[in-house]
Amino acid sequence: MIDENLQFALSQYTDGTLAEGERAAVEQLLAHNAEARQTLDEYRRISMLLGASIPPLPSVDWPQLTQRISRAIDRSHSIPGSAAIAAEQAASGTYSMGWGRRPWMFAMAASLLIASGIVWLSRPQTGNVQPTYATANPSVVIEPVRVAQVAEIRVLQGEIATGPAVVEVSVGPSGRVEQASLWQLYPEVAERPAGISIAGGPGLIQRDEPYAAY
Amino acid sequence: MDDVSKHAEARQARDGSANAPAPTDAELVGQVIAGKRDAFDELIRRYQKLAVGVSYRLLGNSQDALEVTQDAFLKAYSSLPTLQQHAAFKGWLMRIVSNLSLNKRRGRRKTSLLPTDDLLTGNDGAGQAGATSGWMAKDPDPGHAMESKELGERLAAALERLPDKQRLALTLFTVQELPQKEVAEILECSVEAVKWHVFQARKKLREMLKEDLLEQ
Repeated sequence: MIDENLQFALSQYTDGTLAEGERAAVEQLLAHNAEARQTLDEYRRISMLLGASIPPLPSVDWPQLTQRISRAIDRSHSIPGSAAIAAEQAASGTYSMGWGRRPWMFAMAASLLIASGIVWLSRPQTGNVQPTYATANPSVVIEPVRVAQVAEIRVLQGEIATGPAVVEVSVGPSGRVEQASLWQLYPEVAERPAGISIAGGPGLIQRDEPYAAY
Repeated sequence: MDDVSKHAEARQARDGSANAPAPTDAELVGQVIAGKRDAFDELIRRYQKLAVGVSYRLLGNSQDALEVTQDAFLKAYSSLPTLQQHAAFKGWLMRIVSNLSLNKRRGRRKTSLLPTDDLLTGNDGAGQAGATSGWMAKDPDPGHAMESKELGERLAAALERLPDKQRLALTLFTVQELPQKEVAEILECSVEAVKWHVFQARKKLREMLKEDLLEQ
């Protein structure tokens, strides 16, 4: 078994990277050492196998690749006026309307669009669809407010509760009436219902406001 | 001399572009950092072929190599201000290419240095269309070709088992034929260390493929 130093030298000899003196010494040794020759032969075959195991690169359109990379850089770094983007737009027949040069304008337009959507979605119901906030006591008024799924209950005159407080709340577009014996959950509603907000889905109380003094 | 040639010559003389030396990497990097975006396109043109080649040698798939190359240039552009030695752009870029290739390789956990179908069309190597690998294409004997293909697969599997640095050193130096100095820059080590990595890789491959090599 030849030592590791000689194996290392043989590896460099395979690559032709040995200094002149070292190369001569290795060649002298190879002339008398069959094991060294065998090792060198196997190193060479490994190099040959490696070189042959991967075929040459398939043809690549290099100018197109340059343009593709350049465009990717322009996009990722927001360089809309670049030559690469202009070339792409010319090729695809699309033209900038100037928005790209003024991102703040685009952002403002997007914000306005979103705000319009919110206003439209939270607009009060009109026409035949009326919110069903009914109370048995005319002194109790439930005022719908312009926030989805929130109603504010105010008691105009103080009174002593004679039975369980029942509030009928219609929530959502289905108009389904949900009944809730609120006093069982919140006795304060019957005892001193000055103001309460009911928020959330059908039958679900998520939040109540601090009550005013009764 | 015809009119067209005269005009071209006159234009070159006017522009001073006739014998203007190409800008160095360091100059181009400096221009990009100073805000001249187009200078980076020249760097792309200069090194895209090498980048694709290095990545392809490491991944064995041309599509992946093209993706890695694009990502590498993107990353290089973003990180250019951090490059302290502008003249070292080439080695630095190839280091990015190598690292991204290794990451992709780890990500897909697919071991194949053998060609994939996408390489079989539009090959630079004439007459290889229809062959299942470059290895087979170089061997006209069908029986020998089959053995060679199997050996190529075992070689690919053995390469996969090498530590990253050893595989990189061997592939970049032996297959991609980069000078050891450039391999050293990519691996961030000395030339002597590159020689050692190549030797260790070779030694391990020899042990793993001992029987195959003896049969040859």
